[in-house]
Amino acid sequence: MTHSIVSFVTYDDTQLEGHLKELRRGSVLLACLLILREPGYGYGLLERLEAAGVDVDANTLYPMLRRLEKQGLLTSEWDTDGARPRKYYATSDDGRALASQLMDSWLEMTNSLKDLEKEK
Amino acid sequence: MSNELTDRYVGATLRTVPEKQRADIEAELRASIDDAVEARVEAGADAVTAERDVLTSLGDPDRLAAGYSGRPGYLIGPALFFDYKRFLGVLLITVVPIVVAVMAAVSAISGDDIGSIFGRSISLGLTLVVHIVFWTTLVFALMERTGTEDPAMEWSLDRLPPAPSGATVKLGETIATVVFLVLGMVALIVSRTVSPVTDSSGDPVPIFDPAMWDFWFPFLLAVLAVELVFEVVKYRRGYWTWTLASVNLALNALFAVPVVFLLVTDKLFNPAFIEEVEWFRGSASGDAITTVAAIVVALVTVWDSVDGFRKARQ
Repeated sequence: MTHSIVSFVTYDDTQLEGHLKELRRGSVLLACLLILREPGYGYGLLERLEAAGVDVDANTLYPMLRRLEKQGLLTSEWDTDGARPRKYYATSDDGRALASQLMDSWLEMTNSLKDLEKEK
Repeated sequence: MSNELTDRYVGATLRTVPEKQRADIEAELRASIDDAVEARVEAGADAVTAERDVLTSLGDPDRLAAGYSGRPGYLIGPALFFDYKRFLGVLLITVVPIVVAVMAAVSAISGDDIGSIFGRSISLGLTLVVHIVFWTTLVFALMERTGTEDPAMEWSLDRLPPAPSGATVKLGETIATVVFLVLGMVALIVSRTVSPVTDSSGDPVPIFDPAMWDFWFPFLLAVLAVELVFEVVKYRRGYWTWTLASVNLALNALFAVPVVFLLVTDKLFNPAFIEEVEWFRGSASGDAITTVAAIVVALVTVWDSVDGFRKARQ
């Protein structure tokens, strides 16, 4: 974190967590759609999201995957080959198109915010 | 790897999940739990602790199931809540006082004593409130579930109340008047059986002529009840208008004219009462009393009505 250095803050850790969570919440969908361009399963996806700094609970992620499948943004397939049968999700064509639009919008927002920061 | 805790957890979650999706959700959830446990065990935790941690972090199975079924997790959501609150408020503040007042008046006319009238009013009021709250909440909860949006309830600029044209109606004033009216009604009803004056055999002598109860007093009670309703309506309006001032005048007249008439024609007071009370006896002082009373009633009525118009003009 190399941006502005504040000597002291009046908000506490919980408040900071809350704000950060709010900030990150919008990125979960996009992150999932991007990651699942390569087929992945529930827990594996959770680990990858964590590694990418996207903070999402298991009890939010799993229902969300089913919802996204229902909306046609993901496709699913049971893999019964391995030691443990797993349900694999993959981003559908609609999902890829949406991801692309969301990504454009995200980058636009990042640039706007950077511009805002530069203005005094 | 099927452990009792996991079985119980998965079972609890599936309980409220729709039948069709159960098998699929079960298989997926178990696999995810097992994956998570395995990862922790590989990182050095023991199997039992790992299982507990994983299940704990998944949280309340009912909430998880609600997430799977897409249930909203609230009865009436933000979109409908304000309309719900407004609707409920309006309903309660109009229906309950009117119905209770009418019932009390009817009870009084059929001659019940004050204790039972009071008790019945309270219980009727409470029953009404419970019913209104319950059914309104039920209807709105159903609307929330079925995603109904009543276009009639959507706010638009037309619904803004017009700019206040008269003086505002204050809550304190309204409460004072309502209390005064209720006390007046109660006093009237009570005067039938209770009196400061007793006759030779110790029975209370009613102040007012019992014949009044054949028609006039029930009529006056009804007028008072309507005045009570009027106070509520006036408060809800928030400010005086010409219409309100006119209705005020009409109600005052409806009450005052009969009272003055009865006073002046010597019909109001109970002859037996007049007999018992010394200083009332003797036509001179008796006339004086009734004249003064009539003048007071007339003055108060006129002043109140004029005041209403004055406030409407502001």
